[in-house]
Amino acid sequence: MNESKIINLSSITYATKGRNLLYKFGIHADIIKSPSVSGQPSCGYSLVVPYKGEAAAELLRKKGFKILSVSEGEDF
Amino acid sequence: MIYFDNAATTYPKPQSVILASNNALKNSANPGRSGYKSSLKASELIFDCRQKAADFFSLKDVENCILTPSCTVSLNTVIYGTLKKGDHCVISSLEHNSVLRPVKKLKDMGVISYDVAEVFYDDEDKTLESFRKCMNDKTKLVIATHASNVFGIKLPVKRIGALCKFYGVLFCLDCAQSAGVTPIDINEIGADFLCVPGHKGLYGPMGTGLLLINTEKIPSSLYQGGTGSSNLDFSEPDILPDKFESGTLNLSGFAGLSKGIDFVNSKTIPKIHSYEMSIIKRVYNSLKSMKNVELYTSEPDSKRFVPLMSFNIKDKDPARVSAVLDKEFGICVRSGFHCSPIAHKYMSTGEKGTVRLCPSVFTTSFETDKLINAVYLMSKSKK
Repeated sequence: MNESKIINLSSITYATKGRNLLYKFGIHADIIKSPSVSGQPSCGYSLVVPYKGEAAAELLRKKGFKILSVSEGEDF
Repeated sequence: MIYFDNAATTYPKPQSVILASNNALKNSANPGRSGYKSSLKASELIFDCRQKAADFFSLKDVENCILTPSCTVSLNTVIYGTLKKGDHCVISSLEHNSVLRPVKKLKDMGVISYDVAEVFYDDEDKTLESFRKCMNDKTKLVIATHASNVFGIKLPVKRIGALCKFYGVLFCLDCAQSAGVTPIDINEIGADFLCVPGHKGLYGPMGTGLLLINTEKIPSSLYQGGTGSSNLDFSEPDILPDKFESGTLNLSGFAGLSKGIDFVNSKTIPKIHSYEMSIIKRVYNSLKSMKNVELYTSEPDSKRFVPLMSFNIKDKDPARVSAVLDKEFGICVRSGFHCSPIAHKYMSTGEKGTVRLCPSVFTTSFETDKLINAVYLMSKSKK
């Protein structure tokens, strides 16, 4: 699956660290200010992963990242 | 200007540091607050500095590298954030006021007790033994300077780190005079906290410091405020580095520090250390041959010293020596007690203090000759 996902992380530091990690595994991600998820306000920063979003989230979890939410990334 | 006050702050700064600081000041928005390009670019500069600093000291997790305004703030964060009612801590006899004063204040407030472990620069075993003797079942934290800011004496920090691990005590290392001039691996030393200035051996701008945390026993924070994360929570976030970085970071400072670390890496620490030690040894041996000059240690060597030293001219006030060096020879040195009263007490220089000399990678052989000659002329003068 090549699904696009928004991976919500707790801070800009984790978002940057996560993006750099994904890059090493050949996965492109951009950092954005976190959008609201399911009507719930959010803050901090997220990664927009246009392809392999689920795989990216799984990789980050395995590396110890605390992921606050994963949502569809089609709008970004 | 001939500058031998690099223990206070390195001067000059590399051009790359000045350019990076200026560019950040001109072109960047607030890091870690917004999502537009300029803010994200600023965040990249901050992360870049954080990552380089973590790598420089072999810290595994980049988020455990806290950016602070100074080494003093880093030390205060560890001291106030770690020590609680009834705790005991141990400091060395060569500590700076940035350790002594917060520890004494906590003692005066009836919160903690502390003891001072004497350092014997010519006998590591005796130094270790004095640290061991100071520790008791209430000891929670040992704080030691890596190297004296007055005499350049290095402490046996790996052995102190091992001692702390053995007794289950946290170990905080003050790297004010060692970072950038001697190799520091936080894991090899066994330190739980490293406190580092950005503007000395790392050649960054003033107003930058680092706190590296290498333990799961995270201190409480000195102050709270906006972090750009967990904005709806009334309490500060527990995540690092946010817990310790409330308020807007010194972006231009850390952009410069990032380039300062690059500068040190490009020169390499062994070469920096070797070059600066060759200068300090030459100055030491020249001054040693002068009749009226007083020195306080044996010849500095790479194992036991960082490249800085103190001296006095008999019957002359160090402030007067410093003033004449500046006025008549254009040489900048620091005189007095160097914010380290207990170091003077233990080295018996407490009556008038010392004149301190510290070179950098920019110090030239010509400048060193000028300094030696100036001290010689002053030592012969009756003025």
